[in-house]
Amino acid sequence: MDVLSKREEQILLAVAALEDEAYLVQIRSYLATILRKKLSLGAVHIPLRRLDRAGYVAAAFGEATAVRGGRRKKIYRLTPKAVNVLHESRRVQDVLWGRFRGLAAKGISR
Amino acid sequence: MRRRGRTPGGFGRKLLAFLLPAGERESLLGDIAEIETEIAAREGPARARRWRRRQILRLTASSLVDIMIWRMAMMKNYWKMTWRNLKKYPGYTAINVAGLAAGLACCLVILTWCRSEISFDRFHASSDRLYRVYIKWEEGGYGTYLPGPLAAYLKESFPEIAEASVFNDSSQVKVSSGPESGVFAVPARVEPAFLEMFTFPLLQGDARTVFDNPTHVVITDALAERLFGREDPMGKGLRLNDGRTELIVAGVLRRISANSTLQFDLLIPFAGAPPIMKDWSVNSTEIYVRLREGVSPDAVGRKIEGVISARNPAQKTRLGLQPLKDIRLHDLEGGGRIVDIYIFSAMALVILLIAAVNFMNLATARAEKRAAEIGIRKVLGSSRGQLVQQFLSESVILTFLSLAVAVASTKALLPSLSAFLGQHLDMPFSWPLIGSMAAMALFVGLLAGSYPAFLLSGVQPLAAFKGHRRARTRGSALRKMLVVVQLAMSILFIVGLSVVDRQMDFIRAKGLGFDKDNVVVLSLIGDLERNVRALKEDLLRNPEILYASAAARVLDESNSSSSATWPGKQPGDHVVLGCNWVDGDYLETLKMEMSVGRFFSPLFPGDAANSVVINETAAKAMGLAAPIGQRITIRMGEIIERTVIGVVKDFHTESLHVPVEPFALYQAETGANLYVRINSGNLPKTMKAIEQAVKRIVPNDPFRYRFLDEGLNRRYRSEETAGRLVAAAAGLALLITCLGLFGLISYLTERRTKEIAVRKVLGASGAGIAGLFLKEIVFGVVLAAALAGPLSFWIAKKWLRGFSFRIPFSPWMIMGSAFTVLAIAVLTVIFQTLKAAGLNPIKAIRYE
Repeated sequence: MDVLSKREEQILLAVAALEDEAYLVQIRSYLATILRKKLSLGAVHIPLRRLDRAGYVAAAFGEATAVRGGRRKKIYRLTPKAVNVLHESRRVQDVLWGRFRGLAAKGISR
Repeated sequence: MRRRGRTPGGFGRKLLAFLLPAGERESLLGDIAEIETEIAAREGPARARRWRRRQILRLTASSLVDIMIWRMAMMKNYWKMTWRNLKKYPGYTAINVAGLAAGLACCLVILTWCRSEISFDRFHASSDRLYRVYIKWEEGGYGTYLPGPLAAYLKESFPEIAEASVFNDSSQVKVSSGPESGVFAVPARVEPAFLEMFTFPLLQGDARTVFDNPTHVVITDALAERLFGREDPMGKGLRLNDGRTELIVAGVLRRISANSTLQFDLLIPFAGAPPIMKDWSVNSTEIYVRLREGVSPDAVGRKIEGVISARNPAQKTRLGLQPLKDIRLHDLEGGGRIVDIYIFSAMALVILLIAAVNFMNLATARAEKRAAEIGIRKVLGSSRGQLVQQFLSESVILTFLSLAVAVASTKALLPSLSAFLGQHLDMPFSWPLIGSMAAMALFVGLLAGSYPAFLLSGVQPLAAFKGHRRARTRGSALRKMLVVVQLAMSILFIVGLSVVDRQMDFIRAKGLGFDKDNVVVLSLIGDLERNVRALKEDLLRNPEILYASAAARVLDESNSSSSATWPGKQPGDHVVLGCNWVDGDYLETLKMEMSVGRFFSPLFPGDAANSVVINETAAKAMGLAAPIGQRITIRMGEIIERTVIGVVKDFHTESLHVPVEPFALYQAETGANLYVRINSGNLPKTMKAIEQAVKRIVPNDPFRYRFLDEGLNRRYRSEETAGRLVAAAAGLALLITCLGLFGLISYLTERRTKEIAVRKVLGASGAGIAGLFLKEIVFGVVLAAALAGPLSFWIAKKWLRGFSFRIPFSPWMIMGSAFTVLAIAVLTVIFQTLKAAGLNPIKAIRYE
C-alpha cells in the first residue's frame, strides 16, 4: 500500500492531530466535524484496521473509563513509515495543486 | 445520568466479538459504548439503541468482507491443495461428489415441493382475514357444504363479518357462445362480494358492479380466448349446457393461478341459482367470509357456532371458521398435507445426513493416508489451526462443487420429476432458496470436514512418519459407527417404502363395493340428457358395450346430502344421507351387489315415485333391523318420502381415509352423467363407436368422456405422490449408502492389500478373504436393523392410523428390508474383495 486512499490519508492526519486522544471515537468525531458529514463506525474502523495491518499506525491500550463499560481505549500513533508516506503525498499534492489555476485553466470545459 | 457505561447488547455484540480479531474486540466494543452513551444523552436512549444496532450490523457486514479478502491469500493455497488432492484420486472424488450431490438434489426437490405447497392461497391481499365456514356434526365428522342462504345471513347478522360469499363450483359444463361452438369449463356460483373478498384481479369490468345483473358473468382470460379468440369478450352472450338463459360477459379475470384452492373458469351470480341452493335444509355449497380488521376469528367462531342448530333443532351441529391459508395443508379432522410436509422435510434431512456421513467417512478414511503429509506440514511449521482450516476448506469446496452439480441436475430433471410426481413443480430463481441451499452446503461441508480436520490435525508428526496406529484405530471405530447409522437409515427408508407400497396396493385391491375399471363416464348435457334413452339403446347395440346407466352424480364427486327421518327415530338421532338419482341399470353397470331386497326394476313402474335403496351403513346408522318396507324421508328442496325396497352392499364413494357414509339411491330416468361399461378389448374402436353414437344426437358438441377409475385414482393422488416420493427417497438413500460402502470397502481393501497378499501366499482362498470383510458388514447390518426396527415400527403405525382401512404392520417388513440392505452390502463387499484377492500377491508385497 504505497498509495493511500483519501479516507486513509484523512485518518492518518486525524491520528496525528489528536495525539494522545487518537482512539476510534475521537477520530470519528474529529473527521465528522471537519468533513461536515456523519460517519459510521465502520467507515473509520475498517480503514484503520488496514492501516494497522500495513504498519502505518501502531496501537497501544489506553485507560478504561466507566462510560466505556470498563473497556480500554485503543490509542493509535503514526509510525515513521506513515509520516514518510504522508510527506510524499503532500509533495505530490503540492506539485499538482501548484499548477492548478482555477477557472482560468485551459483544461476546463465550458 | 447513568453511572455505568452501556454494554452493547445481545446477539449482535456476540457475533461481532466473534468476528473481530482479539486485539480489537475490547476497544471497539468500548468505543461503541462510549458513543452510544453520548447519543443517549443527546437524543434519548431509544435513538442510541437504534444507532448501536445499525452500527453493529454494518460493522459485522464490513468486517466479514474484510476478513474474506484478507483470507483469500491463504485460500489460494488451500484451493490448490484441494485441487491436487481431488485430481490425484478421481474415483474417490467422483463417489464423494456424486453421493453428496444426490443428497443435496433430493433436499432441493423436497424444498421446492414444500415451498409450492406452502405458497397456496397466500396471494390474496387480505388472506389473513379470509375464512371458510365449516360445520361439525355432533356425532363427529366435519363438512364444508352448507346451506346457500347462510352466507347472506352471516353477513347481515354479525357485524364482525365484513363480507360473505358462497362458492359453489360444479363439475365441468358446456359453455357455448353460439350454435356451433362449445367448450367445457368449470363454473362457480358466488355472491357479488366475492371479487372484493378475494384477490382475483379483473382485467376488464368493475368488481363492484359486475354482478349487478343476475345474468352477468365473469370469465377468465383463458376461457375468453378459447371461446372468442382475439375478439373482445365483453358484452358477448353465453349459454351453459344449452340452457335457455343467455348470460352476458361483464368482466374478465386473469387466469387463476395454480396455487389457489379455489379453481374455476367462470363466475356466475348466486342470485340466479336454482331453488335447492337457497334452501336452508340442504347443504349445497361452500361459504367463505372475510372478517373485519382486528377481529378475533375465535370470537366470531363462537358467535356463529349455533346458527344452524338454532334454525333446525334436529340438526345438532356447530359452525366454525377455518383460515383460507390452512385449507390446503390442514384437514379439519387434523393432519393433512402438513404431515406430508413434515415427513418429507425429515426425509430430506435424513438423506442429507446419510450423504454427509458418507462424505465424512470417506474423508476420514482418505485423510489417514495423508498423515504423512500432515506430519511434513507440521514439521515445516503449520499450526494446528491452519491444518484445521485446510481440511475444512477442502470439504467446503467439495460440498459447493456438489451443490453446483445438484442444482444443475435438479434444474434439468424438474420437468420429468413433475410428471413423475403428478404435480407441477418449478424452481424459480430466488435469493432465499439460494441462500438456504448455500447455508445447507456450508453446514454439511463443515460438519463432514470437522472430524477429519480435528482428528488429523492432532497427529504427532513423529508418529505419523513411524506408522500411525493410534489415529487409525480411533478413526475406524467412528467409521464403523457411522456405517451402522447409514445402514440403519437405509433400512428405515426401505421399510417405509414397503409399507406405503403395500397400503396403496391394498387400497387399489380393496373392493370398493363396485368395479371401477372399464367404465366410461359421459357428461349428459342439453339434447343428450333429453335423449338419453335413445342414446342408451344406440350404445347397447354394440356388442363391446355391456351396460349403460344414467345417474345424477358421479361416484367420485362430492355428493349432495341431507338429514333423514325414519320411523323409530329418536330425538337425538341424526343421520346425514348422501343421495344420488340413478336409473334401473345402475347396479349392473357398476357391478354393485345387493345385500337384501331388490334394486329398481322396470317390472315395478312405481319405483321412481315410491322406492329407495339404501346402503348397509345407512341401515345400520338408522338402527333398522328389517329395513325393507320402512319409509324414509329427506328434504331436497321438497320433501321426499320413499319406501326402502332393498339394501345395497357398502361401496366407497369417499377416499379410504374415511369410513363409508350412509347413502341412498333414488330412481330417475335420466341424469347428468352416463356410465358406460365396456369390454376391455379394442378400446379405441369402442370409444369411436361411443363417439359416433353421441355425435348422432349432438353433432356440434365436442365429444368428451373420462374413465371412472381416473377420478377415483385422483382421490389417492396425494398418497400416490407420497408413495413415489418415498420410493425415490429410499432409492436415493440406498444408492448413497452403496456409494459410501463401495468407496469405503475399496479403500479398506486397498489399505490391506499387503495383508491380503500375505494371506494368499500362505494359502487363503478368495472366499476366505472375502469372509474376512463380510463378518464386519453382516454385524453392522444386524446392528442397524436392531436400531431401525423399533423406529420404523413407530413411524409406520402413525402413518397407517390415517387410513380407515389399512394393512397390519408386520415385523417381516423390517426383516425383509434388512435382508435387502444386507444383500446389497454383501454384493458390494464381495465384488471389491474378490478384485483385491485376485491380484498377484507379488505385486502387492513389492508395493511400497
